[in-house]
Amino acid sequence: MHPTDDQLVAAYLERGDAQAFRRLVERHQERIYGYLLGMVRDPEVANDLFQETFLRVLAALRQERASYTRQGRWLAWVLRIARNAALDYLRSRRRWQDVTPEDGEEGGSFWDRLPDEAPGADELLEEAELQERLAACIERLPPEQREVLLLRQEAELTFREIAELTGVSINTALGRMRYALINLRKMMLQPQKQPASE
Amino acid sequence: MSKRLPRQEVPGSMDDKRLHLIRLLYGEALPNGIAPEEDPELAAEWRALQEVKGWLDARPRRRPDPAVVDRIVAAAARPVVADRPARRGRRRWRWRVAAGALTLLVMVGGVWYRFWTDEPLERPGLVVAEQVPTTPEPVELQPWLHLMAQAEADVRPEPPQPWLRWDDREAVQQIYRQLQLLEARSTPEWEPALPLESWPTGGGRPGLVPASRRNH
Repeated sequence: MHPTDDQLVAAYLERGDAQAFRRLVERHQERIYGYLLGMVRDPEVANDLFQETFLRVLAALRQERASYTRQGRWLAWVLRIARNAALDYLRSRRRWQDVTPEDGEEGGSFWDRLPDEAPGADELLEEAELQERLAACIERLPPEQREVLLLRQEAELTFREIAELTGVSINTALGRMRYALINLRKMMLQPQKQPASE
Repeated sequence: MSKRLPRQEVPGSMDDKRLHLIRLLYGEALPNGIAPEEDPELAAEWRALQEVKGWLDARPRRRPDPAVVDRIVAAAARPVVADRPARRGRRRWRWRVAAGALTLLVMVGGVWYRFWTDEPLERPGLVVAEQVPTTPEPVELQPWLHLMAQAEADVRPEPPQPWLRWDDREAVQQIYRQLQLLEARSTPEWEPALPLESWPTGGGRPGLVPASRRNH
């Protein structure tokens, strides 16, 4: 038997079944933690934010007028809380800066901010370094593109859910994802071109 | 979060076909979608997107520290239901206090209305001194007043109040009746008085006898 998220929530709320809540946490821990880790790039901070997220979830569930309405969207609801926790942290660290329209979705000015140093082509062949570099490139993405990428790739939200969560149209969410992938590819391929041109 | 990120709309040049590629890449394509491999304009981008997604899919999934999950579950194990009855209990207690205060207020209001707003002028069965007619009432009214006072006394068998006893209608009526009775008795209904000189002074007729003629 594979209970749904809503059934587990009901089991926790109505019977106080803590193991049901554990199943909820463990079922989605990779998605939520992966999103948080991609946002803050620090495993310790991501752990703290993960815990903070679920403490907020518990507090919200224990209110009589809980904001979760059991419409089969548990993950999206928890991710909204996780996003708020992450943005609170990033704003407190001033690592999340609102993007002005002049920055552009095309990423023209963004490329000017890319660091000059780049690893050699041989390093990219190694899987571990590839992943590390990929993570570093994701971190360098413009915030709005990085967030959509993490919400789709790590948290596995649909683009419609991402649009609702971030308060944009679905086409904007799709466009941000497209530019995120294109920019990511350019960043990943850029070091390979430099040795070839030399 | 108090501030939302500013919206950045996708430039108008963004082709719907290219956005459709993203949907297609993540399995969210609508029915009757395009086939990017067959479109020379989109084929190159489709391959590029697939390459990046391959890198992303190859990333290992990361999990939080198990101790963090244990702490969350420990926090969740605190009884959820215990909070709500506690709140309900507090609410019940507040309702009881409110109901008690309301009852007390009604009782105080009733007592106040009973003793302080019962002005003698409006109270049936009472007649203030100013209302007592200064001129003698016709005797014909006395039975009506008596009957009315009797009826009111039957309806309201309340104990007499010492500070109001003097103003009791029955007592006033009784005094009034006594006054009328005394007045009636003190007013002789004799024939017109005869002059003293016309009274017989002798001859066996009764009347005044001069002192000098009295037989002692």
